Amino acid sequence: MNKEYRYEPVIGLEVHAQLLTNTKIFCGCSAKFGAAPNTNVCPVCLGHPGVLPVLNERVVEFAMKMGFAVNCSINQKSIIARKNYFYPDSPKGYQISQFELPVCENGHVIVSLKDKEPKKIRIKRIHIEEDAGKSVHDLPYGTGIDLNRCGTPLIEIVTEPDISSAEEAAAYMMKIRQLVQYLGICDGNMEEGSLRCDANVSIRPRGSETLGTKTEIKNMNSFRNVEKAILFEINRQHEILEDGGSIIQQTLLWDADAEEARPMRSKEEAHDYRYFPDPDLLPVIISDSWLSSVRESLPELPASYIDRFTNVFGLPVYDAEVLTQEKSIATYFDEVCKFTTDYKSASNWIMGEVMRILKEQKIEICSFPITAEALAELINLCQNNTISIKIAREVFGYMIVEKKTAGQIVKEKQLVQLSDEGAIRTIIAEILTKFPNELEELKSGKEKVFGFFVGQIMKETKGKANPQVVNTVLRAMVTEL
Amino acid sequence: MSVTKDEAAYIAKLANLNFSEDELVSYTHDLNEMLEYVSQLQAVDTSSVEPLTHPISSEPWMRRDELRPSVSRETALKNAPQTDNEYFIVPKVIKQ
Repeated sequence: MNKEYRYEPVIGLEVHAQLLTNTKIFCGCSAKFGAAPNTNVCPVCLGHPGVLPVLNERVVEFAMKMGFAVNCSINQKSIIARKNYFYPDSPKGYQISQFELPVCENGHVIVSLKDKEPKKIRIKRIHIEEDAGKSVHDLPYGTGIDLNRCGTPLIEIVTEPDISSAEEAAAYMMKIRQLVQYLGICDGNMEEGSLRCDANVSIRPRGSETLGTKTEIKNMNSFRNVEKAILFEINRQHEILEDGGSIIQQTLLWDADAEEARPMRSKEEAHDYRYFPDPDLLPVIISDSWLSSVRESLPELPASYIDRFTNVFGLPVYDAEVLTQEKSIATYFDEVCKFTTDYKSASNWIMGEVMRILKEQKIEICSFPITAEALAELINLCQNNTISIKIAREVFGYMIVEKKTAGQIVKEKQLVQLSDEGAIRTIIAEILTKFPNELEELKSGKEKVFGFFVGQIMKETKGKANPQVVNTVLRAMVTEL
Repeated sequence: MSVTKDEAAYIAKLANLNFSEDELVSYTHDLNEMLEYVSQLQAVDTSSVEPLTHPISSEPWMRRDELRPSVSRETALKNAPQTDNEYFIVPKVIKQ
């Protein structure tokens, strides 16, 4: 039997999201990324003795928002705890986090994989915590510590071990990124580390209820790496079990260049965090009115966009999912549809030409040169047969470079579609006389030659002839002959 | 409740403390005396009492998400044993 069928992977993910607040979680220093080393610091985040942390209310608000978005229950009283460990980038000797009572518990998300049933992944908890500083390892005289990031706010989102493949794990990550971006609480950039992921992986004989020994993989800084690293670990565990060995519980670091996960030193993973409630911070109390005002302030989420795009605009589910992957694209589409009623064409243009340009030029839709209204104008010119779709693609290209409207370009370059039957008839008559041999073939029933004539007509009109009119008129003229 | 010498050594290690053998014996002894003293509390039946995380109950004080000035880098680095005027410098953390 194939080993893939003998064992099933059991995966749980811990995702850290850096919150887009102005200030740190317990002090008023800027939480912005990229400042000169050790310039966004104060006695609180430097961990000086005698200082008192004061919780940033927006951190709690953002955690609540995420909780609502993934169907969690919100604990109106939660406890802030100290997680004790020593590392140079954490000056207090502990991280302020949550342990027993987090802000959110018991949620779920649904992920859809191609050709598979939608899968429900339960979320165990979401808690708030502070980030650590950064270590710089390439200095010749020691390790440099930059504490700008120390104390910047994070939420940690922990799943139940419900994920059963590397593919599902990557899909879950993308779902989380999509949600934090829609909520505007995190920029979702994995490469820059504002969204990070650790995976707990074990495998067990298919059908078994007991969990196998798990390992933890860290340092996966892209969606592709999440998938690759987990797949690597599943295969590694398969091989060990197939050879009659046993899995050692350990922490592995993913090396993206070597494409392998390597164990961390056992010394570094002697975890005994001795959590206890932080005496400096009172329990977090969320009043009924705060809770409901945050719930009411939630922006429209992907599920609702998809619902609207399919039901109101009549798009296929596939289109709706592609368009809602990023909120900025979904709102762009929404905007285009304010100026045109040809929704399916709007979807086609965005999924095709627009996304191609974004990818080629590595830009976001916000810097895309064609506004939603301008794209709608182009779509309308096609819809009312002023230009053909082929010419429209040409116009689109000019719009990007020349930054003019579709109407201006069509006028300047005289691209208006030729739909006048009489005019087309004259052109066809000329062409038919130019190619007597081909005409004979066509008359004798060689359908292939029909395409040849259409091509010649399009060439003669520089692509401007309305293809439908050309087809009808040519067909009629041939029959008349 | 009491701790063994090995457990005391483990706790010391977690706290980054280095003790000589004599110190370890003496601290294990001290620790056990403290535990014994505190264990008198075990006599109280707390089965129906909710765990207390904080001795005071008051409305929590939260901060608006508004910037306050940070300190200068010079000030931040002032008390550090070693710096390069940009980073805090610590002994090389061994890379994986």
